[in-house]
Amino acid sequence: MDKILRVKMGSKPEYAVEELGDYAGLGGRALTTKVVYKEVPPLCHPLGPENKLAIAPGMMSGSAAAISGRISVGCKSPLTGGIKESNAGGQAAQVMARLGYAAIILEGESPEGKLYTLVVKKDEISLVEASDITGLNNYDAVEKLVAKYGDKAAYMSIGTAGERKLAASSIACTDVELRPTRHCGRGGVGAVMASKGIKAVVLDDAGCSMRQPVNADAFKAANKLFVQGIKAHGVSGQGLPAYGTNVLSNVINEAGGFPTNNFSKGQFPNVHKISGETQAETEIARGGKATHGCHRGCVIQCSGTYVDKDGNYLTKQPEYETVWAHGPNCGIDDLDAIAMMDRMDDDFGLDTIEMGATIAVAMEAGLAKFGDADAAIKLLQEVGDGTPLGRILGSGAAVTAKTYGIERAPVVKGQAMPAYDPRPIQGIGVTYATTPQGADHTAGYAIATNILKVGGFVDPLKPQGQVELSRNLQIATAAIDSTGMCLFIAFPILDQPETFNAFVDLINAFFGLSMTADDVTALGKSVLTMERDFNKAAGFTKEDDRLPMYFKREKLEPHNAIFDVTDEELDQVFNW
Amino acid sequence: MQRIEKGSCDGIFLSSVLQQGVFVEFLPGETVASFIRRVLSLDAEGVQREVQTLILNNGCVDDPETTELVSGDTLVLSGAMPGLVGAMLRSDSPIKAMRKSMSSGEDRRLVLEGRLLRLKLFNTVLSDHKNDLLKLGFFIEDET
Repeated sequence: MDKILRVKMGSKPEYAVEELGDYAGLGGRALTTKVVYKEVPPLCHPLGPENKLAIAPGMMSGSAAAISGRISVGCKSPLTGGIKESNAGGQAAQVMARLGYAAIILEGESPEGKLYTLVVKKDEISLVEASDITGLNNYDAVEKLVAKYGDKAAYMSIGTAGERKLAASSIACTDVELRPTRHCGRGGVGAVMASKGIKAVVLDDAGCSMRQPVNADAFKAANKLFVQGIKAHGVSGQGLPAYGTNVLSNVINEAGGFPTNNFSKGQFPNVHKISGETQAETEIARGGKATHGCHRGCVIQCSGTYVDKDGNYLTKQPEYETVWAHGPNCGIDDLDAIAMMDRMDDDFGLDTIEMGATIAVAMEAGLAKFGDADAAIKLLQEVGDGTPLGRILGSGAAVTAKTYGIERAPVVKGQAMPAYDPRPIQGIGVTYATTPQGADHTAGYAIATNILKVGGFVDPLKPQGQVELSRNLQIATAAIDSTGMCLFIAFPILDQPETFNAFVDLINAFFGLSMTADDVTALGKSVLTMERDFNKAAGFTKEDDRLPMYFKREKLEPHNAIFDVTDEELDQVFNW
Repeated sequence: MQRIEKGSCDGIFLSSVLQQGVFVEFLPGETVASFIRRVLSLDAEGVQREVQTLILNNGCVDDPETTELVSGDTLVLSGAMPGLVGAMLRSDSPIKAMRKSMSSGEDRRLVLEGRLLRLKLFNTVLSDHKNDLLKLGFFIEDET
């Protein structure tokens, strides 16, 4: 990955292949963040020509390193108004990395509103008018692209939600079966891609080879130990492969932190009907798959295939956040309806978390009753149809709440909260409040803090503040997001020192480095510092690092908890 | 209540009722840890390896060896969970401070006669140990 493809859209679209320059040695979130920080005016309109969309595979993507297939997309977000990094699995990261590109940067604006397909091959780059797929949703668009460009390429695309520049729109990445099921979902990145005039990116690595490590023997040995550790661990080797991320529903519900009916309750009575256990049994009984990888090289296999009652493919296995958002958060206990909405989100190109939260707000506003799955599907169809109501809903939970005069909008910086109520689980509330990304459960996810000693060792025998933990978690996550590794590696790393050592050895052997924990800390801090500085220049203040006031006022059963971390404590998260 | 034992139900029914909760007898003075060892036929190492998430009356159990069971308790047994929240819910998690506002839940016990608790099994604990529960026998509410 020794070059950058810069695509300048305008009256005469053009492109240039550049050297890495200041971006050398970076990947994933670190790279997209630096591009946005250095090149995007913080006060620009997110859909204006000054904004840029940076697409970057992780530092390890395209190599033989296991689970290294995450791709990051960065820009100024039309949903939050701040900096955004959104990442996804699928095949795009591996293919783009093998093509040798550390980043593709889209800039300028759509010429006369036209959309183009950017085709990137080993020795050929072209911009093709996308009139054949304009107006199509992701499944149909990808089918046409595959017919034209073949089944060996990887595809990134936007659906009609992106074309309409809706703030909840996503960018789809194709999976191993060439289905558009893996999404850079958060923050409205699909709208920014549309504003650049790009409908799809075709990545074809025919003739390219796998990225080779500097120290092949050490890399091979470390990768073997890394894979062994992942497979040996209870979470990454058993729970996730068997049940997917929806394995969480039962447990989070039992802990009283499962947001129900638009965050008005902490438990959902019919959770067993939509749990990961029931979902896996349903998939297997119907002839689907409960264990499947989202990209080649994944050894966790936390995904699956959801088929309908007749055994026909409907969607990939809905993830925990999706099941929660379209299920219990809307009072819905019908797995088939939830799977249908997952399919619709993927097809229209929408963030499932944002759309589930938005429909719940709409239900609270009286547009439908909690628990009415048919009505929820109809509301989502409004977005797909581009009706005036659909455009409001497709702009996210905050806009919908404002439109209908609803206080209970579970958002931070305009972005909807994921599937953990921050009142009983306050530590995640600190991350929701303070991450530069807007409410995001993955922003403080990398729980290897003690082993990495990122931000200082936290003594497990002493209760530590929520703030200190959130800080360390956010630093570690920012660093791992830059490697292209799936965050689920955090569990074997947390519990198995030998797996952590293998992970570090893997990176060092690949690049010929001697990276230390201090280097990891420095990388994570630098990413977060750039993100914070960008947001500050865009007009954000410490008052934006807050949860909505009702989380401090409305008690949540069964723990009768409110969010009581003080504003002063929240302001200490980034005090390095 | 209806007693369920080996041969009296099918797998899908079993999975569903064990997720929703079944009623199981516990012994006098039995702790969470000793109950798990007895009911799931595990040694201490097996419990540590297989049952890393323990929830009692909606609160986390960080000291299962000394936490005594009380009639009407609801006990949840689960493997280790993914995600940050999954990690913080683990028994004696190094990041347990992040869930400090979760209450212990003594006031959420059910009113049950005798030494009965409601037991829920999730995920890998459910798939690996449902037959242990069948062998032991348990009760479900009549309307289930």
